[in-house]
Amino acid sequence: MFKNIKHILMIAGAALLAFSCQDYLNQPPVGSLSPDGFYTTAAHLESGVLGVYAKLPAIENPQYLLFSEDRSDNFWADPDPNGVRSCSEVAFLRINGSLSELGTLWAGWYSLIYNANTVLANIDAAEFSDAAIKNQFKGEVLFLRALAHFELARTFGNVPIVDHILSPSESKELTQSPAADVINNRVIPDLVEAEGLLPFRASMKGATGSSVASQGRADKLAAQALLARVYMTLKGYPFNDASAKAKALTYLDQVIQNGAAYFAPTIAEWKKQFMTDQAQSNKYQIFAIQHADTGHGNTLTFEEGVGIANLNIVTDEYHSGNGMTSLYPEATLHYEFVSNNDPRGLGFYFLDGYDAYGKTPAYASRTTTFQYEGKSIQTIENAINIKWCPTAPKRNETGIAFDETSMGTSTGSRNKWPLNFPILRYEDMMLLRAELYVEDGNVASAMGLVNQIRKRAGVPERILNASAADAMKYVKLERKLELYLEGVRWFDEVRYGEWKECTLAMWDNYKVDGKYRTNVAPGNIQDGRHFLPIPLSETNAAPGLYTQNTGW
Amino acid sequence: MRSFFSVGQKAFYALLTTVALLLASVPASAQTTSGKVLDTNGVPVIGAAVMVPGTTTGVTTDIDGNFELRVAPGTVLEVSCIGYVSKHVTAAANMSIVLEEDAEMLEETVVIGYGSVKKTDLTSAVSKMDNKGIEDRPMARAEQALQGQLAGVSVRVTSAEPGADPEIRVRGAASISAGNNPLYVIDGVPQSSMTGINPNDIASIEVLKDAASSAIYGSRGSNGVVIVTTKQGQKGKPKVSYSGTVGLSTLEKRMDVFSATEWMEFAIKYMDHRYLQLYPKGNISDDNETRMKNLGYSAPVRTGGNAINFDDRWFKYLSKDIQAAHTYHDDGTELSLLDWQSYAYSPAWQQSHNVSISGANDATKYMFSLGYLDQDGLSPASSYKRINLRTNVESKLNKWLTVGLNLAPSFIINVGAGRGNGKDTRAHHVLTSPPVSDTGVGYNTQYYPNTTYLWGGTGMRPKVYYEDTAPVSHQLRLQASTFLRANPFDGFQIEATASATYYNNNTNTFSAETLTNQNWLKGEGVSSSETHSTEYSINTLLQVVANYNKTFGKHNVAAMLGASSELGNIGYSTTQSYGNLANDVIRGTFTGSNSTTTPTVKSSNVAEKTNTKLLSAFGRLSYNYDNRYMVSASLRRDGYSRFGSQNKWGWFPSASAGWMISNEPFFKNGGLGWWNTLKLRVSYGQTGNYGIGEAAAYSTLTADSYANTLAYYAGSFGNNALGWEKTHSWDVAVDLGFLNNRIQLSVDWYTKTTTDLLYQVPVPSVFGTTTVTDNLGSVLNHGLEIELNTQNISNRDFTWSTSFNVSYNRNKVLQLGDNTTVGDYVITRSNMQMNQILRIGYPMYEFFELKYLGVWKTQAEIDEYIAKTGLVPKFKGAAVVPGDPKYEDVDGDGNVNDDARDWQVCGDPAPKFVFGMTNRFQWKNFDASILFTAQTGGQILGGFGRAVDRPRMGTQQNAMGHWRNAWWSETEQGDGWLPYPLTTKESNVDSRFLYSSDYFRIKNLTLGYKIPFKNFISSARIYLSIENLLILDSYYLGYSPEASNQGGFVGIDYGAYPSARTFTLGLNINF
Repeated sequence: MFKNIKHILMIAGAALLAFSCQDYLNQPPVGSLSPDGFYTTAAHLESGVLGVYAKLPAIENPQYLLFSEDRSDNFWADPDPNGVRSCSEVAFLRINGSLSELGTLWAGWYSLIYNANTVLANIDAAEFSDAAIKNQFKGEVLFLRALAHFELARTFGNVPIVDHILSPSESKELTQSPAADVINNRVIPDLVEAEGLLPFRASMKGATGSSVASQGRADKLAAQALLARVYMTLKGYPFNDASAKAKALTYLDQVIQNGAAYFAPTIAEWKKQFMTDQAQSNKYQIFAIQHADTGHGNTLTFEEGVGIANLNIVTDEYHSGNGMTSLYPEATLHYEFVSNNDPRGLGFYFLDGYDAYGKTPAYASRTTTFQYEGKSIQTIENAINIKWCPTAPKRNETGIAFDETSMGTSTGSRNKWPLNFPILRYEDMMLLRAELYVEDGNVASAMGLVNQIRKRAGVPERILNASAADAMKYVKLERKLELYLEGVRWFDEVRYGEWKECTLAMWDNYKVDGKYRTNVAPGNIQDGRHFLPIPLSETNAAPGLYTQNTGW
Repeated sequence: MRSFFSVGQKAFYALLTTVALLLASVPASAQTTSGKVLDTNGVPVIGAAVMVPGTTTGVTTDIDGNFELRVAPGTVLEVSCIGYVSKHVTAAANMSIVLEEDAEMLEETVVIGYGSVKKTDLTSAVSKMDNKGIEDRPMARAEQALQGQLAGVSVRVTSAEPGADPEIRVRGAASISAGNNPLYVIDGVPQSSMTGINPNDIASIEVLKDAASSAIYGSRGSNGVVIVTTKQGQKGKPKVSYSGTVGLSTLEKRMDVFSATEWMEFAIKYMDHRYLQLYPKGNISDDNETRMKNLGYSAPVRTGGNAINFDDRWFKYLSKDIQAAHTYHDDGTELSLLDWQSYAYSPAWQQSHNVSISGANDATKYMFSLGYLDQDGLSPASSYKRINLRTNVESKLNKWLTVGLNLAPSFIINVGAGRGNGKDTRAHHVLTSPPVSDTGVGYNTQYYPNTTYLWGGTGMRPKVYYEDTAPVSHQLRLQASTFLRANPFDGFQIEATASATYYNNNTNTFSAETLTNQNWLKGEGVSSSETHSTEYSINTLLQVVANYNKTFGKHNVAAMLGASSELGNIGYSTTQSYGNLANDVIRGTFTGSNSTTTPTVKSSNVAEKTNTKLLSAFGRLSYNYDNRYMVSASLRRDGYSRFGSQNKWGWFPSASAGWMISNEPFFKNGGLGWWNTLKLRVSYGQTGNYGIGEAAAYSTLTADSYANTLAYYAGSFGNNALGWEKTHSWDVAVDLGFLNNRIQLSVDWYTKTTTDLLYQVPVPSVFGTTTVTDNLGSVLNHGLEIELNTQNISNRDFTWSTSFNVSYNRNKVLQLGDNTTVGDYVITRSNMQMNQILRIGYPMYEFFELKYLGVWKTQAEIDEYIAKTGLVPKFKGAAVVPGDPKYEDVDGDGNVNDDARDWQVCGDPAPKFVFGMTNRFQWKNFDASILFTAQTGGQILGGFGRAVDRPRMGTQQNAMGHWRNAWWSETEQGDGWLPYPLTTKESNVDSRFLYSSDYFRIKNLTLGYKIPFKNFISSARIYLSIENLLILDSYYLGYSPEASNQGGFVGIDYGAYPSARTFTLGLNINF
């Protein structure tokens, strides 16, 4: 019997020995790369840099549509949709911290910053055959990190600055910095450094030294344009930094000088930038989120308008729109476009409706009376936004064809057209410059810039000797018309210190029989609400770490 | 209770009679007495001893149960046999003696991990169920049979879809993210589910409930272990059995939604109100044209919340009053008035057939079986077919060496899985589809040549659409295991096992969309699509287990030592999908050469699976002194590949002890003849839960592209310290037996503390991601289980037995991450605003919503509130008006915000008490059994209310019938519960959708008759079984209070598949 026990012990011992190998139990997922040892070569670092850019599409919708255009007086959202819809909650300032898009936006930018910091932490040690390429990569990443901090600061106000990879414990202790500090201490130094490191677009290169000019990556001009926007922001409400104006002027002049080629010569050319041809859009846009294929298409297409599932509009139903998102061009803006036959508006930015097709019923557009410029006007209050949808007529007009069947038929893909989304446009810079001309009493120069744009569009030009007040009104209006649906207007309203007045004016204008529309509560327009609330997901993750913004 | 007393009295009188007879016995001349000993099933008992008590006079029964003995007439004989309760009878001629099986089951063994023990020696909490409760109920899933049978094992049919997984919880749920499903061990091989097992092959199911018993399964033991043992051949001639059933399912319950006329009436009223809201100067007598003109509409608005234009044809179905109040232009054409529920859920057939052959000789035991089940679901194009084969063979090579093979292939064809359960599925659309469609269209809306009814939504579809788009999945599962067992010397056994489980699934979905939604305009096949996904996986096990069991006098020692290596998740999965197809006829072949068009490849993915590796060593030592004192201890060490590099290995110890007080001399001599069993048990153990994702411990990069160029960014943020969830569990129990153990009672009290919960911990996003998986937090489950088994009446012609069990379980969050303050909460689950939270000191997953209080009925009521509080009541900043919902304003600022400021705990998804009771009756050849199940103390969130029970839904949807009593105006206030159908001041989801999940069900009633056969057929029985005979509940927004179909959410029902009442006729024959 003793012998048998010895046998058992031997078997058991052998079995236990087999386990001693720790490596046997190391089994990382076989379908993914591990970050260990990545980021060491120029090629890998380029993938890393593009990985930072690749974080932009997820941010695009909340940053530039939901929390910008939707909050501005460019848009009228249905205050009373059939269900709780984020667009309506945001537009009528019924936001609360648990609104999921708040968390998406905040986390999206910080995820971009993390990936930027990962590249920055590794790039210095990596081997590059050409130091210029290393500098360019670094410059691109600094530009993106600056963009992230800037958007966070002007959207949420006081936010944490993250300039290196944080440990879990650091991340639980890092507090908010005042918005002005975020911009002055992080955004501007990053952009200035990027501006120094980056070449102009023509000289932008990939890891192998070949040109990447067509990829729409951030170049020196983009850094200058963003610096101009940053200083214009500092100059306005709520920062009111008087010293920013001189810097803004410097950068605006540089952009206008360096970027003259970005001004599309004709309206026909201008329209091409909003179509599916990346080369055409990058030709006229200083910096844009690239949507090179439908798998990475424009996320605004689906959300911007009510359903236009109709064969008359697109040759197939490759834009079903989101019937639940009831967002319409604001009525007086609609009127401004339509009454001037502005080619940018009807048919290009929006449609008034569509006819019945087969048994699909016609779109029920609604004509309503509004007050505009002191008179009563009748205009459509529920036009359909199509700026990010290259409908068949638009494709015919611009000659830029696209085979929509390549998008597939699943709801997720067929509403994502490969249209770039511009962040920085030359016209934006021109009109910012015009603002400063008006401020400085040089109305003629200001109107010159405005008229350059209006002339191209074929709409009546402004008189050169307008009063300063009128001139400023024209500049502001032109910004709305030219940059409609690009997420610019809301931050203009804030910069001008007019967001409360503008919002209330629109709500007033939509009254029925002297009463606000259902669920419109002017009491929600409160001081401080130009900043969004800090998301509940963040305040929950680190209780007590962040201070909630005033007004929420 | 009355029955127990009567049993007691009977037994007492029987005892008195016996004693009297013994005392009064007088010598008499010996005569031959003869008879037959049978068991309660009428089967002869072989080898039963028939003795004159106190003497050596006696015989044993022969192979037919017959005996013959010469004793004086009137002599009291004692008839006894192992496994049966001894009986005293008075000698007579041609006696027929029925022995009852010993309810105490003295020699009954219970399978525990890597071995078995006598039930009386058990020191831990193990519940056993034999195949009695399984065989009469034709079930797609054997797990369903556990419902209501075992205390502490709760089974919920969360979806009544054919073949769907039931939810099994052993002693509550503790894990937040690592899963709460028990481990299944089928014939010694660990598995993740019982899918594919033929219920007819099962001999017994044991559930290891406490940590002392499940700790031997270490890192997988925390959620309990379900051990399934399949049938083996029994010694004797080959036994051939057939069992077959045929059944019919019908809808158990109908949901209360508007009828066609109610819907039209509601729609018109809604449109009138909306029109006047938008155009206060209007009048409801304005016709469609006028309404459009007044509002500046270029086309009619018929659907959505803004609908103002009715169908002129409705009025002919409505009352004179409604007709008189409106202006309409009826063209006289008839509409189709529909009842979608009756149409969609037509009675469904099912059948099953099983044949088995089993037997054994001295060298070989064998069992072969073939099973077939074909079950149609109530919903069209939903069915489940299963074919099972099983071979269990074991053969003795020589005196000490045995080999065996278990081979169990199963093949399943499942049609339409998931298409009839949940949001936006048929189950949803059947209830939300308006009950009206165009002239002559009937149910064929949106199907060629019909388009959508202009007032209806896109959910209205005929059955044929679901048939055209149903996924068909073919699953093959092969469980194979082989063993070599050596018994080199007495009491010692060593067994080496190798097993492999192969699983293959092919799912094909051809969505023939040509005939729907005007797609015919584009041509056949163009809008159709085909998706094909394949998956296979292999799990393997190598295991060596040695057992030693020896009795030295009064000492019994049992030891077990083993080691195993499991390599799992070996395999690949693929998904392909195509569009732009040539036609709708060729549905499975897309080679490019069989059509004129080239199908568009929409996606084509291949993914390799990441292996899982589990290495284990385990042992157990048990000691038993004189069947009075028992102790047992076990230890397991597991190493697992999915854990972080710093935490690959864990230890899982357990210890338990038992004291059989009733075997103590003092108890036996205590004169308590009616009290047979008293046993105390206590156990403690530690178990683990290893259920985490493959990337939780490892960092990865995600590949993407930007500007058509390869891009990489951080994917998962690994945590190399990640380890097991640990559960520490105590169990204290008492087992009692009275009146010859005809009354048996077990009471278990337990606590189960789970620490180091695997949890997606939110981190501030500045870290770079929003959550990381970490071991944080702890949860306590504690509860009481009572199992009571009684033999109420037991005589030759009539027996009645009862099994009753009740489980009480409560859980409580003890700690959450770093956050230890009592009262703080974390919203862990929020989907479409169906919120569930974790709070320290409270149960898990409480519902956290606005508390709905009814309607603001009048302006006076609002004014009164203002006068009382000085606050203007608001909802999200907008002042409420009469007809708006009234919510509890938690923060007391007058404004109800639909967020954490005003949300509050409104319910708990876990029931406090779960009951089960089975009564079995037998009278002559007739038998009956009835199973009751019930639960109480929990809530269910009818998330489906979001789709069918909210204001402002417009007319595109149907609505729950109780909107008949909605508030319409101060003069038409309804029942004060449902608000104005046009109000917008209602939350998406609030406590109005919460209902008590209490229910009482007659889960099963079976009536059987044993056909008396001689010779060729040894036994035959026919029976009628009714599943879900009756339910008493108060849940309004769904078919079953057990439903739960929102992924990982607990107790949220969003349009669950309707439960069926099934009538089955069955036949069992043994040859």
